[in-house]
Formats: sequence, C-alpha cells, structure tokens
Amino acid sequence: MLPDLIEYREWNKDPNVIQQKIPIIDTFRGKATEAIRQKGLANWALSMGRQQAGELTLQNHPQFLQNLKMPHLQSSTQQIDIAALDLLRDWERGIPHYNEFRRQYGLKQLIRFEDFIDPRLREDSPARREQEQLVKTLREVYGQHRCDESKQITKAQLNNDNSPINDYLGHPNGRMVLLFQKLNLLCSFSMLHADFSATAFLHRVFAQNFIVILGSSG
Amino acid sequence: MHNGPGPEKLEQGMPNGHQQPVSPLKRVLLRTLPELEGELAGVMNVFDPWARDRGKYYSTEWEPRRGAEGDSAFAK
Repeated sequence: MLPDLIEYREWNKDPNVIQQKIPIIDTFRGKATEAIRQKGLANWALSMGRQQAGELTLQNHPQFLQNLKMPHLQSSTQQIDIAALDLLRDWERGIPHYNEFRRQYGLKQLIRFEDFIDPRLREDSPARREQEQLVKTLREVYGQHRCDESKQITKAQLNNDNSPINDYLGHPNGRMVLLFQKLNLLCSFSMLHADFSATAFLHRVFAQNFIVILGSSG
Repeated sequence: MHNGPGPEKLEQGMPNGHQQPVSPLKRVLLRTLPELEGELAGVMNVFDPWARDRGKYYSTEWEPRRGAEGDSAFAK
C-alpha cells in the first residue's frame, strides 16, 4: 500500500529524524533521475526502508494514484484514476461480484447498503458511526435512478417477447430505484477512498448496464 | 539458497532461532550502498520496515527497535 508522502531521512544525519515529507508523485517518471541525483540513492533506500506501509483499510487509497497525470491521453482531464482502472480490470477478468463471492462461500448476501454496518456494534460506538458514514457516502455515490422505459440499454439482446431491453427491466416507468448492484465495487479496498470523481463516474456507467433493482422509494 | 556473489554469507547469531543466510536484496544493498551497513545490521528482511522491532520471533507490532525510540514514525 503506497503512501502519498515519503518520510525522507538522511543516513549521515540522524536516521530517526524525518527531514521532510516528499510527495511520491514528485519522485517518479521523468523526475526520478533528478531525485536520485539530488538526494542520493542511500537516502531514498533508507527512507523507504524505514517507512511503514499504508494500512490495508477503507478510504486509504493513495490520492496521487486517483489523479495520475497522463498527458498523452486524449481526454479533457488528461489524468487517470488507477483505483477505478483496477476495478475495471477486475470486471474484465471475470472476478465475481462481491455478493456472488459471498454466495459461493455460503454466506448471506447483502441486500441493502445498511447491511455493511455491523449490527453487533453499539449505537454510540465510534466504529458504528464510521460505518454509518461510509454507508452514507455509498448512497451519495451510487444514489438512485428513475426508471425510463424509453431508454434502450442494449442492442445485443431482446426480451423474451422480442421487445428491446429498456431501463429497467419491466419496472414501472418513472419508478425510483436504488443502484445497488456491483457490491464488489462498494467493498473493494481500492474503492472507498476520499476522492470519488472518476470512480463514481465509472460505477454509474456500469450500474446503468448491470443494474439489479433491490428497493424502491417511489 | 545462493545469496549473492562469492561464498554464502550468514547473519550473525540465530535470528528467529536458527542460522539464516543474508537475504539476496540485503546483500545487493550492502554492496551498492555500503553506507547503510549500520542501518541494515539488525535487519533480516529488508522488506520489513528497518526500524521496527521484530521481537524474539516475529512480532507484527509497530514498535521501534532499540536505538529508534526517538523516531516520530512510531509516535502514538
């Protein structure tokens, strides 16, 4: 797990002292050679050798990898979200969805965002509050969607009666539904980070195509 | 395991309760960055944070080894 900042130390001073914190993004690609020449390989080795790896936990994906500059891209931002890209790669390699994993392990599947909250936690415990906050964030990211019969979502298949598959699958037009498919996305280690921009966009795009309707509010 | 050019080199003492060869990456670092010899002296696994105390066997606690108590990375 990469941190965003390297705790830079120098071997010929006191190695216990962090001299400065240097963004990783300033030390790779074309900047790597200059960084090595300026600071010396021994200092970099010492700094990286002594640094603790990032904790494998939610909302701890390095931000520089979520907004990585890619000047050769022909896009408006010319940057890429590696977290989102990793999710995309997983789908294309056929990694089962989170709920499908649970089903195959014989575990109960989750059907609501609130199922992410551990019910054994006390109402006033900080851990529960943190989980509730995450669920709130998930709702904001995934949100809701209004069914639109006029929107055809695929040309690759038809319904059994040869009608086009529309948005969504026979539910009443105009009904509000939760976007709750792709639970693997919700739980992926790389997903629950501070900046949702491109990740959220990708999820919305995919949710449009792979949606399962699990609840409604209208 | 052949752990570098020349004869096999072993760690001093009995880390983890047995004799252990110096790991290949540690030998590379010692050859190319000899100034880090002191820093690497107690390090058996260079992928493990160097100033972390491994305990008697292999503790996973984030505690400083002797000499690194002042390191702010271990501040709680």
